[in-house]
Amino acid sequence: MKKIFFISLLKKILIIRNSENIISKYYSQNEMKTPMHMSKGEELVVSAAVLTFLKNSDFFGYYRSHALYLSATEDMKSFFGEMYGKVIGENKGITGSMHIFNPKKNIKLVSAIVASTIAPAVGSAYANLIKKNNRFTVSFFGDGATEEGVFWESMNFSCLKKIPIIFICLNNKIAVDVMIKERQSYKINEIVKKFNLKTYTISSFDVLKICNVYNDASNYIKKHGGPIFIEANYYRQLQHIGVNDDFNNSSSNFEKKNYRSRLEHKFFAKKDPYLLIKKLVLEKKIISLKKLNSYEDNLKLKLEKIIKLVKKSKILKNATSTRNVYYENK
Amino acid sequence: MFTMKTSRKISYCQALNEAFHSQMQKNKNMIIYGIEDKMFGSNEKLLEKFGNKRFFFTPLSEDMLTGFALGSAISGVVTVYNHIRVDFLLLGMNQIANTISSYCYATNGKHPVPLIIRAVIGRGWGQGYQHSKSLQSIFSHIPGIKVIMPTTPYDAKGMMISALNDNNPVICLEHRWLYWQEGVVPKQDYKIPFGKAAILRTGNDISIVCTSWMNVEACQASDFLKNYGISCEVIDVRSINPLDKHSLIKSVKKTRRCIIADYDWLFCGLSAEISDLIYSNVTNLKNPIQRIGFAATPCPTSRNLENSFYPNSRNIIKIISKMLNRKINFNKISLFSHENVFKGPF
Repeated sequence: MKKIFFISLLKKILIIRNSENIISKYYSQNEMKTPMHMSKGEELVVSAAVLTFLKNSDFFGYYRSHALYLSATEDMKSFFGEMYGKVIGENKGITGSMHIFNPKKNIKLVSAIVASTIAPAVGSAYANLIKKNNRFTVSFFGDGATEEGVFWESMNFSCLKKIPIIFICLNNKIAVDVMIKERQSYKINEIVKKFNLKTYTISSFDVLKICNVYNDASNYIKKHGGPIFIEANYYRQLQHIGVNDDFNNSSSNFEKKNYRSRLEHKFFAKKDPYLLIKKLVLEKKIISLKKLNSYEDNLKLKLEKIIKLVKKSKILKNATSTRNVYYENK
Repeated sequence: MFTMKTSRKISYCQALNEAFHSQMQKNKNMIIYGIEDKMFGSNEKLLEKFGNKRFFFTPLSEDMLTGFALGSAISGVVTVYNHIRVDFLLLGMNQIANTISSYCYATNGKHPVPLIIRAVIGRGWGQGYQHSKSLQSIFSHIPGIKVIMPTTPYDAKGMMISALNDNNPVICLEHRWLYWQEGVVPKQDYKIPFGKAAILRTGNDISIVCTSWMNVEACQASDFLKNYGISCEVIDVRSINPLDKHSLIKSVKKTRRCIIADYDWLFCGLSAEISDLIYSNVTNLKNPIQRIGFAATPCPTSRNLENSFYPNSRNIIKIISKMLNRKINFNKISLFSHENVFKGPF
């Protein structure tokens, strides 16, 4: 791995983490009126994939969309514009946090219905075969998505037709507030192997392995085609929805009380990808602590400026306009 | 009506087949798939001519294949997904209602979605309650989806070519008894724009607004009623969403009587929608609007029960006789019978 790769990865993770910190800071002002599914914890597994695959691929994501959007675009202004529902938002306030995407920036679809972007990702990858453009598709989804029938239908079809797609199952072992052992009778990677496709398992606590696996997957798909399945384990640091952790139930009546272990939470706090990437670049002397701190301080200032700008900017005037429901041929 | 130089007659199926051949030829980025290879002949020779990458058979997996269609369409490939029965399409409803319909809107109208879902609808041969639905109202209810129901072979070709170039998700509902109907169809390509109804019979006494197979029944009723000096205007809605409100209102303003014969259930259906449109725009109706549709039950299999489930030309004439207060011996009209055309098994 080249130094520039880790610098870029660091940059993306800092952008995502600091942006989400800003969400947490201002969310209680009740101006970002959109349900937040925070990416805190998944930044590394998502950003490293985006960084590795961006040149040759398109992404399909799910409602926990912040890490994907910000790592693919690094566009904090469009991001916060969307969170605040403003015209300068990526989708002018139409999509909010759960569906933010832009096909022109390689994020082809993000959806709030679990597993619903897996099949479109397969279709998009098939379109690449038809167009012979040597591109491939990356499909992100959570462990809960594997409980939907469409996941298995997609596995079958993409293996049958050798479709150039990388499935990345972001496994945090919780769906809303229900643990994986209460939901699944299978171990996902073991059962997926039966489809006879290339599989990998990574966890967000091993930065180098993640980067190597993605790099290997990228080379593999270019050489042999698809599909590939990667189980990417990570720890969801916050609630399913909202900006708090699961130990502050005062502000949430959504999740069950005391359903997660405090001990586990403390354990994984030490393996926070935000800390791990910083540690790695400092240890490898890729960047000095002074430079890193100064970069992050500037980033924080920039974000505060963006918030001021976004708050002042306009909202779409006529929300009931039916003009954009259908595509108008020019 | 349309003025056509040609007198070449082909079937509805052949008309669709011509549309697919010409468009597949023109556009290399176009695919067609489904589990049914033939679709009653409308897919004839597509596999041989365009190969199994662009025309392919699939696993059942309707949910996945509907989402697949979206992914392929937004990546610049015109995508056609065939369903031998609209009832199976319901397995893909999540994708239709949640992702396909909202895609263009979410991109602020910037991103095209060239996606066509074809589905066979309606009465067959003892199909029962899971192989017989139409569902145009359900699909038309969702903003972002266009719904068409061509009745004539001419419309089948022209509307399909429009659909394949529309860049929006289009659901095309095709009544299986229409596949063998013949009509005049030009050899060259032509488009029929959506949102335009067709007048199949012109008349002054009553407007019969129809969808799909009900047009056949209404035309038969209209021809029969000529013997009684009653002139009916038969209007084929053909494009459900967008709807040609103007033509429907115009016709009823002229006749001041209206029957809506929608090939579907009545409750919360298209006929109620059109009824509201007419009532809101035509204030001097001579009679209350009458609606004709399926019986309010799931579709039964047994032939006798099936006969009473589906409305026909006799039902139309009976209502007209009441509306005009005229004695008409509607038992004299011979009903369309499918018995000699098709004897199963599917």
